[in-house]
Amino acid sequence: MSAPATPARPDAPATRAAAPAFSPELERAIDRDFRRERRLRARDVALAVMTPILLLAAWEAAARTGVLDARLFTPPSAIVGRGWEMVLDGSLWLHSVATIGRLAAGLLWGALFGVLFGLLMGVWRPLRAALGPTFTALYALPKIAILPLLLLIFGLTETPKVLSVAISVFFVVQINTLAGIVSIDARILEAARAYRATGWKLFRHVLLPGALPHIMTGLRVSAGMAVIVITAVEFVASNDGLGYLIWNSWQLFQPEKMFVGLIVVSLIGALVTGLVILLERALLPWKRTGGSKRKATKP
Amino acid sequence: MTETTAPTDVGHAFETRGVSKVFVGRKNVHALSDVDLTFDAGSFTCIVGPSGCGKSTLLRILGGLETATAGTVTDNLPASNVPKSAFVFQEHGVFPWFDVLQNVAFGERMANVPRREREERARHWIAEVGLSGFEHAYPHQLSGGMRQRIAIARAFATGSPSLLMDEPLGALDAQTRTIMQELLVRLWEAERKTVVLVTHSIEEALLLGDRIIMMTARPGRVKEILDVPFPRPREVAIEGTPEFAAAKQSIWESLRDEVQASVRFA
Amino acid sequence: MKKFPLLASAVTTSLLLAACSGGSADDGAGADGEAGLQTVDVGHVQLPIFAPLYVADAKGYFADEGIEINLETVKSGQDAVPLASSGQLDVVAAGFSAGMFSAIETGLDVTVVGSMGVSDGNTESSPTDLVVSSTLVDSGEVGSVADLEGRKVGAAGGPGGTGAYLLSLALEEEGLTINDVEIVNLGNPDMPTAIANGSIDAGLISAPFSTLAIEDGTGTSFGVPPEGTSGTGVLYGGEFASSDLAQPFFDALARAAKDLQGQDRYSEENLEIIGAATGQTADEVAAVPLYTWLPDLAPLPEQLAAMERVWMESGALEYAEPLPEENYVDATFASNVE
Repeated sequence: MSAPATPARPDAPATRAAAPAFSPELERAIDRDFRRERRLRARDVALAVMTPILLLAAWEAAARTGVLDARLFTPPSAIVGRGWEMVLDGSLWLHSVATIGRLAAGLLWGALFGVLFGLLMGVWRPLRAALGPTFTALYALPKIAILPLLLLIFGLTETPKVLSVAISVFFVVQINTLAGIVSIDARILEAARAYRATGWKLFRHVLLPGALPHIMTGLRVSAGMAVIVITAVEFVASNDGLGYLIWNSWQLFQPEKMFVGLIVVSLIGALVTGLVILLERALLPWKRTGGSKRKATKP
Repeated sequence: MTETTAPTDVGHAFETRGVSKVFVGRKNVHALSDVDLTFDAGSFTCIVGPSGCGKSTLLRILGGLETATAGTVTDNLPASNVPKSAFVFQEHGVFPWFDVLQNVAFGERMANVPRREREERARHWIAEVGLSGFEHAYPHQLSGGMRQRIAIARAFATGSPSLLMDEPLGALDAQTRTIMQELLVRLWEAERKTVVLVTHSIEEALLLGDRIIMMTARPGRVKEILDVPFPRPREVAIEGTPEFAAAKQSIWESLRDEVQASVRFA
Repeated sequence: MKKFPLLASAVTTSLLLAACSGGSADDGAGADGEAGLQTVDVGHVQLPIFAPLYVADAKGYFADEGIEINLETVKSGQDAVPLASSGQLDVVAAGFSAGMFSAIETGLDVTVVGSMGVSDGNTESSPTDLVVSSTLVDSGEVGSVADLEGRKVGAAGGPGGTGAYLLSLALEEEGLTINDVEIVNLGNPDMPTAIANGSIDAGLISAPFSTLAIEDGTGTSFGVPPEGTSGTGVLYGGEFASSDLAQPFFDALARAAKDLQGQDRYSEENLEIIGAATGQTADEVAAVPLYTWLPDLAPLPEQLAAMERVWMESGALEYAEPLPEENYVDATFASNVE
């Protein structure tokens, strides 16, 4: 197939080949706008960082002046001190590893099966009809409520704890994945069919990428939920882990340790969510509004 | 304006006999009724008619996306690894998760054309539609007009012997549309594939087609077929000629009743 | 879908309520109730072991002293300690725990003023049992308490609970300490199952779960707490303790305790009252052995000191020196009872 000789194309952007230089005033104005935008963004970052710092400082001051009962509301300085002790003696590490291990396992299995079921239900109507309503009902059941049942079946092992997380993650991811498939524009599906994308090809090149944004949303939501669930499970059914640390510290009236536990849990939650967001960015390059500061020219 | 046979009989690319289509649902929709048509290989046919007259359905039946409830459709297109018809839809159906290059190469990819070959062809057509330099841009970064060009490039790049287009320029603003009409004509003239194009615009049909098929309101039947008298190569300038205005007027006379009928239906 | 178990909400609530050290607006002691009665806020765990409280309430003994009690249910005594310290509650009837000692050591203002359920050492029908897995007993692996060394033993409240204390009493008879076993924190209802599936080898279980495990053959009783041991009691918040109602409240309580001596505690009337207070029928209450109560509900400082020692040994308490008794026990109310 040879390309026919073509005259100048009417709609090719004229600015492509030799872009005319901007006048100095225009350059300066662009620069000003750009720097202003950068300033505003820097301000956003500063506000985000300063707020928790100020809150912590206020807490410290309140505890020291007696406005807050320091015996119950350990001041941040004491929390940090205690936390450092716990790092040194290894206990913080032990509890964190226990929790993170359960979290990771639960997230992995729950997400895997959630995506699998969501995709299968998306493409196979009988499965969707069969499982859809049941899953919707089960989704609303607090997983902490079935924990005693799980303990009964599996005993005091890691399984009930990981399962609680996995089940919670499963439902969220499954629902979102299914929604992702269903939400794919019918016109895109028609175009795919028109170009003979069927079976596995359709799945791989159309359904999966089309559902991916929803899947990532499901992962992001379930990550936060997973942290909540594992903490709650460790409150009542564990001898180690950050949830256990928090709960047991309160039972033994050691609020310092409890706050250390609370803070580390929050950090882990933020970390996991952050990782999912990074994953989202990596997998969905087509969702981002272009990296550069100048957009593609439009005719 | 009577039904005439094509000037050169190179064989029919498509032929429909007695095609009817009823969509079954809570209310049955009788889209097409007893359509007999032949399409010559290498011809550019435009189908016009009121909304709901089944022209899109007819196009899909030609391309195998829909099956006729009654009647037969045969084609005489060469079989190969690529689909016999490449579609261009009104709302482009461009995949947001592929960049321009991947989108344009999609048809060939589905036909298992090896990567280097299909990318080379894709780049050629990207250049033909004027999107050079945007191969790795994503659709959301581009304007509607550019996205439609991706769809057109994709259809051509697939290498199918026929092109079926359903209001491909309908979503564009008037100025972009004019430019794209010229592009389509030019691209077709280079390769002479069999093209069937559905449109609402009488001017577009007159500008682009060899033949215009006018359809009735639902259920759609063939009302009239007109051979377009203007010589090729065509230019937008012909729209200013009195012959053009006359042809447009007579087509409109023919269609007006149908449009009014369909408006009552709507 | 944010979820927190009920207990955690209690933690949060008690933290928030107790936060301000300057005392609360709602001061229980002295608030006027109906017909000139003064309201006393009592935190309790809903169990038959606190029968004197319910009996005194039902029989009007509090009213006779010009008091109307407002019962606030807590899931564990530990939740109520900070509330008593800050004046949100006036009195707490609950089990002791390491947490209570830690709180007092930190400076929270609560005092132990009385005892509640005391064991009578009756091996036939005891409210608490050391239950060992029958499988281990039958195979000969565990013949005596000494063989529990290195094994997993369930105790409600873990190393800082009364279960651990009672367990240590049994262990010390065989020359072992609390640290010679691995304590697993389990709730009483979960212990029979845990024994059955081998998750724990033995458990310090309260009735009726202890009886369940023994009756269906899952476990064998290896002993009951000796006569006179007690793990529960009455605490006063600091402010209430120095109020006019402190003694009258205790008088009413002790009066009810006298109604619960010996077999009297199983009287129809008493069973009805206890049942109503704990959400059971009288028969259900009778089915489970009741504790006994001292007629003056005097606190038991040696017991408390022993508990403190065990918890320090198990690591549940982090401070080095035992607290001086007068810091946390006040027996004057009991001794002033006519």
